[in-house]
Amino acid sequence: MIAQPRASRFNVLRLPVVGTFLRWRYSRFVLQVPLFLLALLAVFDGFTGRQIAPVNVATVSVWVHYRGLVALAIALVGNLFCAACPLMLTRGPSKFFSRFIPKLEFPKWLQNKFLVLGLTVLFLFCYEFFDLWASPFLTAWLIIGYFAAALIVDTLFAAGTFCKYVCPLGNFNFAISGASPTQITAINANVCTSCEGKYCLNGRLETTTTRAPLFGNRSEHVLLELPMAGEGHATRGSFPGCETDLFVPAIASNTDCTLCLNCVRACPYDNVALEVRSPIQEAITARPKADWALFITVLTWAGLVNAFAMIPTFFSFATSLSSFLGTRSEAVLLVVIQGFGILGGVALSSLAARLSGAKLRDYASVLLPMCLGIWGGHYLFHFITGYATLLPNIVTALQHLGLPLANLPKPSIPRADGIFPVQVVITYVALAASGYAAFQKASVSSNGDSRSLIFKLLPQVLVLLVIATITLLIFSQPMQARGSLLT
Amino acid sequence: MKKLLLVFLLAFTACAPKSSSKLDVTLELTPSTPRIGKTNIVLKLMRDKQILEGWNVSIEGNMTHAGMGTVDGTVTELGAGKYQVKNFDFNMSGDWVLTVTAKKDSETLTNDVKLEVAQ
Repeated sequence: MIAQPRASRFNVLRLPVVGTFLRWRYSRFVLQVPLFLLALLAVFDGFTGRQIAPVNVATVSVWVHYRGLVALAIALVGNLFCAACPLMLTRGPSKFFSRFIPKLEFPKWLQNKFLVLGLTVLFLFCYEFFDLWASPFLTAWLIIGYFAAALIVDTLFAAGTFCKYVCPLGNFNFAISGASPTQITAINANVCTSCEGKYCLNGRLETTTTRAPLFGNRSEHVLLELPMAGEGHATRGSFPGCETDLFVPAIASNTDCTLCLNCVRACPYDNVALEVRSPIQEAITARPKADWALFITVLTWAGLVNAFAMIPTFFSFATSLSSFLGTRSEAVLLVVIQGFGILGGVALSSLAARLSGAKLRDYASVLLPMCLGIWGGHYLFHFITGYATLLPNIVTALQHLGLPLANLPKPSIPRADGIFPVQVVITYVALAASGYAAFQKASVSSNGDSRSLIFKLLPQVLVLLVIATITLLIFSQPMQARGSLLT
Repeated sequence: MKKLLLVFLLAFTACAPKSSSKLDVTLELTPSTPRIGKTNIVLKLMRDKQILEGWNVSIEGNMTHAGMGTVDGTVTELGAGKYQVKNFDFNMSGDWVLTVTAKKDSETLTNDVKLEVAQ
């Protein structure tokens, strides 16, 4: 489906300084390098520094700053962390290894979101079971594991396979950026219709006399002798296209978009915009495939379970459950709690969709603002309480590396009492946005019949109220950072 | 394959951080079960079953979750290897790590003591 042009648009790429920077072919590299250096320092400190999470770069940067800034960036701008993802610096080595290792086709049965859904759930289990948040050492290994996985997957398979089908972090970002205020769009869909090379998708190789797609095997993808080649916006050189197989005029959501802006640079007609949109547009209009709908739903309920594990009630519940089941196995207890929370939530969402006379995928996008609200509210708690802890730890780690830097004082622990009102506002805004999206969806499907509208809307509103109530109950509790499930 | 696995395990073990436990620390807390709020702590410090007297001692408290900042306490010596920390502020419940450092001349001893703070 080709998106139709709209009258009023604000294109971030037209901004004087920001736009010029984003269009620059090395802008992504410039954003990646600081994060890569931070990742290196985190690994170094994770292995050699003090094994106390709040005073180690590995744990502070990953579990406080990365997560907090991801949520903040997505809520305010877009999927900036995928845009600046240092894991993609493995592209150089993976291209090198690809000279010796033949590319394989990623199995068709894995070309969906079920694998990454499983990996995300596994990650959430490991996060609690191994107390990753409390271990600089394991966090350092996690960072290495991510780089290794990106390198191996993108060496064996086509570039972008890791981002699209394997990376839990990337897909987490794809999901919650469904409620972000920007999206890649085509400025004029007619230009795309007549485009001979679909360069945003395939990439572009431009010389002074020829223009050709970099990839693709369609019949029209031949080297073209073009009089306009190399002129105007069409700068000469080699410009890769979208690695996650998105064709710009067909983009209707932020799913799978890493904001790498390859499409912007590959389009010879300057026809790609980073458009400012309503943050609830996708919640209203998107109808994801079944696998992605399940991913969004699981992520929403998993957000509640993840936040629940930070409060005293969680540990009381685990103790009661331990007595009830007659086991002290933390693995068993975690599987039961996480399984009950997530599967129960998915079942509730599915039931609500059924009662609305629809399928899960018809209403899954409604959860997007709520999903961002839950994860964002939780992550912001850690970020607001701990934002000042990174710099002193970086200085300490650099001192270990031999740099003659002066000590920075370590910040004291704030009481965090003032954060709850912020979390309340976030939750209510998310609830209002999701509720409005549900209303819009129900309105469209009820064709002006108000009785039908009420019956379709009511189950969705009830589920959203359940989610919001649980969220507020969790946020209102004092935090309790504890490693052992049972005393 | 087995060799590869062995190399990986060796690398993993080699990178594992070493813990220091030269300093023996015994804590006496008032109230005895630590709860959120100000707590008086008496540290009994020993090395190789010998009490430590006349050492410059510091204490730093951290929670096990990243981002929770640091609490420092002021330590005064009581004698007989005992050191007092008044009004140490456990301001959140959960797992804490108290890092006790003792310095004398050019020697530095340290140890991490874990404890759980209740609501």
